[in-house]
Amino acid sequence: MKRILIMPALLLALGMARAEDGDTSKTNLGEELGKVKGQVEGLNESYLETKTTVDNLSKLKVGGYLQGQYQYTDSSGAPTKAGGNFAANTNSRMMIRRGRLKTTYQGVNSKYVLEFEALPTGVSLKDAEIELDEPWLKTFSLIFGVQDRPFGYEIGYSSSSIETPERSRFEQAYFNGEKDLGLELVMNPGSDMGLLQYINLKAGAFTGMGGNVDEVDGDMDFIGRLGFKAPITEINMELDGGLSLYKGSVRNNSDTTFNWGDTSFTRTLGHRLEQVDRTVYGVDAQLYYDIPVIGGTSLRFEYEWGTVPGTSGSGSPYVPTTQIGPNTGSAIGAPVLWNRNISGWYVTWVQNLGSQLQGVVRYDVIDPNTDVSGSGIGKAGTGTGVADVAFSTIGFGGIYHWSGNLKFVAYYDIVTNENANFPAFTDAAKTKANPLAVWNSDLNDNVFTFRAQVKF
Amino acid sequence: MNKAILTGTLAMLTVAAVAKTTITVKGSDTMVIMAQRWAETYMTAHPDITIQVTGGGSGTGISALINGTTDICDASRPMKSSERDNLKSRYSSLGVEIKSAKDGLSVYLNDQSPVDELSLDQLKGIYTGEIKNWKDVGGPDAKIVVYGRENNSGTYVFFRDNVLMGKDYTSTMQSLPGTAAVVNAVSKDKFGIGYGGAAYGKGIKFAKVKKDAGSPGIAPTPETIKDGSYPLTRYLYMYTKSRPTGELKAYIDWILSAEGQAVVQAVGYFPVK
Repeated sequence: MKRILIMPALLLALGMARAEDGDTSKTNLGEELGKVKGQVEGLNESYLETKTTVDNLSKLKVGGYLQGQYQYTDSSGAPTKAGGNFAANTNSRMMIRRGRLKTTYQGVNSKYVLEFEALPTGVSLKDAEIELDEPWLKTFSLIFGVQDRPFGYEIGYSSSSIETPERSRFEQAYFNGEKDLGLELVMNPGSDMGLLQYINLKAGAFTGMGGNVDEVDGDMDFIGRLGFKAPITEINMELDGGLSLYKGSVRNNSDTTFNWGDTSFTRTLGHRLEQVDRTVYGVDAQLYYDIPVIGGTSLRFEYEWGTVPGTSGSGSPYVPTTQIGPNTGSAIGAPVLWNRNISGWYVTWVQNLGSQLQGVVRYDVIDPNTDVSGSGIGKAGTGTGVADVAFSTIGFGGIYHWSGNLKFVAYYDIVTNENANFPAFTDAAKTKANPLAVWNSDLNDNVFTFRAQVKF
Repeated sequence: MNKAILTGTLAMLTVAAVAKTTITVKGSDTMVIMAQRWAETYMTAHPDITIQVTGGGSGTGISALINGTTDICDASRPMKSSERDNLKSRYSSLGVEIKSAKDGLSVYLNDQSPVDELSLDQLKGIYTGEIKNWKDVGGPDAKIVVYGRENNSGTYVFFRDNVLMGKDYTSTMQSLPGTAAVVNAVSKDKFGIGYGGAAYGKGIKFAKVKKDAGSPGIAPTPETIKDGSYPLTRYLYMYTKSRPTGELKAYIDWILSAEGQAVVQAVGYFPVK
């Protein structure tokens, strides 16, 4: 009986003791939970701070690419547009062609771009853009700064993506460096805009100086391209194209202008500080078609023509400086302005073979003076020179994409120049050979390029 | 010597003969479960084919397609014109867009939330941070805890473009790596709100969405998503860089077949036809 009474008493005591322990544990657990909750809230605050920082950083993108290449040409010191003239007595070279570092900050309805070119010769600014996107139609943007000129197709095609080592000769001569300083309006309707989605427009006012150079002639140039896209998605084909216009002027800092007459340049005076017309028209088209099994193919065509003021030694655009020549009919102090009618075109064929190989062929023509050709160039009394010589180039090559970041390009340019008619000697006694006479036949200036490009 | 060459050649041919065809699929996290089910079902019937499926987000998948590291990109948003231009530039091809399923981008609320419906404007206010308290949208006086996706997600982009109308998400939004994580977070947080595919909506409730304050709230049901009356209906896409051929084409054709579309329904999405 005692045992019977003792057992429940013991159990009761044990139970009470456990209950007391339980209460203590509950209290401790509550305290611990409170601590953990506090720590979690602290971590959450810390996480939100970190997230804000990371979100801001994720809007900043850094990219770039590096192009290293080996080149070989037919003759030492050959003049070329395949990366600049070869040095005297040199017919092969290694060089870092381009080294770009680009930072892009994508804000809300805005974008900021800063891109530098870093080469052994120095560091220069390539792009400096502020882009503002309207949030309502999501169709229009305003871009201010140093940016691609909105003309044609090839200018806006990235140097890291273009299949040939360099852009066509025309683009290099008349839109050298691709960039200009200005304010551009972009219209790019989205897929919900009906038929408008197939139209795009880029147009703006630019200094016309090229690159990051301040305006010195007080006259802005208009550059614009009205483009279209015509996709036929059922057969994976698309035809893109556009019409471009460059309408501007440059200030003649000299007193003299040369214009083409019937058979030669004629000199006129009294043009000091006159604005001289610079007009280029362009038409371009690109056809894309996916050939089953083989891969995508594209044909790209561009034709450009107009009137561009240059100098005696170069057809490239006359760049006015702050220095102005005297009003005496003399050329002293400022380069004399030469007006030329120009034209150029190219057609490029790119064929993908599977996903890693590409073949490319380009035929490219430039005529820096359409009023004179061949034997008319260099002829005594015409005022013509090397700047009037036309070129045609056929180039072909292959590209191997080792990975998404690395590609190799092997490319060969066969360059043919117009055969000019320079006198063989510069003196009547025929004792001094004319160095320009080499232009009376085709120069040995074909170039082979092997390039490796790393992009990140 | 000849024997050695013959043996080597035979060995190489044997290896080639038994080598499996591998198809890689990368992209949308919204679609990853569906893509895995497609792959499993297809591989069962085609043991000679290996299909590797990974997520990472629509943007990641499209980048992989452009870089040539995936055969198929899954995307819960259409390809942007800049991405298409990159594809054209690299492959001279527009890419091929295949609508593989339909989805109603759903707004998740905790089961205990008294709020049942939200207008697009209210959603925009919540996700841009202008509305911070549930009482402003007919709920209790409590802070709204906003969950969303990371910026490489097609769902993130679709929601930003179609609800936020291009505005930025609030900095207090907790970005989670997948839709399943968003569902999980909202199911454990009675003041939470999230968004994602309809197929992931287990353990939480879907908010009815109103086009504007005066419109009726519409729930993401098979009917409303199929007929397009649900305001946040979207397609789920697959992209290839060029016209698919061979085994790749056979696989995509199968996905669009009745059998492949049955998988779509089994996972909780909606067939395209």
